[in-house]
Amino acid sequence: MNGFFDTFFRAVFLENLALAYFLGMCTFLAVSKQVKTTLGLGVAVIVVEGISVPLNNLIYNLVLRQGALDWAGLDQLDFSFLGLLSQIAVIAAMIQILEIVLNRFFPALYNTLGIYLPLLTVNCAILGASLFMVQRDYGFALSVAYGLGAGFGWALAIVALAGLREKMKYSDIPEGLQGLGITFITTGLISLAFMGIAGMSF
Amino acid sequence: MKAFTRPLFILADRFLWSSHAVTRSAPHIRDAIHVQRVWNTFVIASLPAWLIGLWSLGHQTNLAISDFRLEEVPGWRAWLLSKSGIGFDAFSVMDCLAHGLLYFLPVFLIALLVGAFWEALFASLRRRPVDEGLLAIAWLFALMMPATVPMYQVALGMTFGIVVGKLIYGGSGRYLVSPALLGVAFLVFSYPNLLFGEGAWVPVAGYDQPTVLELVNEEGGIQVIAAVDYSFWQLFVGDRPGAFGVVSPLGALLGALLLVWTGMASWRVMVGALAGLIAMSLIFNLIAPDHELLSIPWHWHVVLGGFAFGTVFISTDPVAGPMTDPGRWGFGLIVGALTVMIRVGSPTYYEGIMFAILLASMFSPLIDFAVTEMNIRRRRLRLLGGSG
Repeated sequence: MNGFFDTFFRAVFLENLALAYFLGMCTFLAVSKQVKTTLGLGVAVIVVEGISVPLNNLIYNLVLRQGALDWAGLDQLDFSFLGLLSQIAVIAAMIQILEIVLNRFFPALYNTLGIYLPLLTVNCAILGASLFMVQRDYGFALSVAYGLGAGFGWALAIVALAGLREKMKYSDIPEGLQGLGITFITTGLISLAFMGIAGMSF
Repeated sequence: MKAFTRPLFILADRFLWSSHAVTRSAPHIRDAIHVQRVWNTFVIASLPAWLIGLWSLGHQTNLAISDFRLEEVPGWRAWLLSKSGIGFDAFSVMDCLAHGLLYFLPVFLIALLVGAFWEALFASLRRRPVDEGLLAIAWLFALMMPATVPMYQVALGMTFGIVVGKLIYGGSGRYLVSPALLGVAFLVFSYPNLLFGEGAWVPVAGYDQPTVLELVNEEGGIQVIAAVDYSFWQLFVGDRPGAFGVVSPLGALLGALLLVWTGMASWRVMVGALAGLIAMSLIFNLIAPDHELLSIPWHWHVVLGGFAFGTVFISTDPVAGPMTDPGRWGFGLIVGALTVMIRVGSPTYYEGIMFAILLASMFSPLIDFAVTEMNIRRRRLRLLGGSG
């Protein structure tokens, strides 16, 4: 249990996908104008990461990894080169299903998310979390923690940026920096703030 | 050229006073308070902390000089001191104050000059009136510097703080984090030895005593404080190595009284930070009563490091913090709790208050958002409940 909490905490604050690895920047910068939208988007990312990372973990450990098919006498086979392909397929399929479910049962949230839900298919933060999970050799329980933590960290970052951008409506920004320029700088400032707690461990 | 010199002239003119311009159309506010005066209250409030800090710095330096039995103290400061007939007596308040002041003044002046240059440049290029609040930002920035800081680092930190922290967002009232704090944080990440190194605190060659917080963090627990003879009240007054204005919780407390009495700073943030600190350290005490860092009692956390200074003068920044009253409570709680967490949890950046305020400032618009939304929901419910 300690490892579970630790992995979650690290994924949220220390190895934040948006602020430490700068993954998922396109959505991060484009959709962060209003807090309300980002709240929906953040929930969507948490859900997608929370399901896709453990699912990919199962597929990788039960099918793709060398020695995973021992029980069938196929211990020579190593399908891990298919990892990237299967992960993208899993994420895409999952988001399709999620979209259908949301459309049927939560139409308000579905309408708020609009185009951004399908766009999560190609969000590098989502694929990145699965790749990190494989690289770091997480077991199933840890992959659940990591998936939820990575999603929560990314959601936290984009909601914070949206809050700052709403406040910045009243700022008087030089002509050349208006729009994306100042958003990049603000992202840098948030990243700097997260760096202060980067060395934390218990 | 005139475009550049005129803002400089205005800046010098409004150094302490604001303009006498009168608004021609409504709203007409009939009050003596304005931006410049708000900032100057912060400077006046930090004077006790500054004086005690200068004395403490001179005291530590003169003690080190007499401990090392230095015959000849090198440097222009010593030359100036001996020419003017002031000695190096560690127990004469006058000597200590003068020695400390000679270290503080260059840092402050460089910060002020660099800040004035950028203010004037932005004002002339963007054709805006000169921004206010430079004096206080340079002042607070200098107070957070150690005595051994190289002058080019002062210039770099002040440049980053004032340009990225303030000017590109449009100046006072529009920035996201306290510019002085941002400048210091930038320096800490660029030059980790600046605030976290042996010999950073007292400007005598060969002196390598750590600050009390460093002692606690590296040697383990508060037992070591007792071992090297620091008493609680000594730390409370501020007699220890540290940055110029940060060493004295007593000075910060006096400043806090003035700030709260004049209404310039929110007491909710300060009390919230104290409550967060107490709550977090009590939780840690409960979890691990035997762990050497987690078991530090809360009253030591209050006097250690820069908690008092940061809480009173930096976290109460009128722009970077939340605007709603419940939000201020929340902001303070986050600052206090994070300070303790970083202190006991982070082996690299254990001066927690700085990063705690930085992080909390990033979430302060969000805190306001949550408070406003909750308020809207409550009033809607009340309205609906009343009508039907």
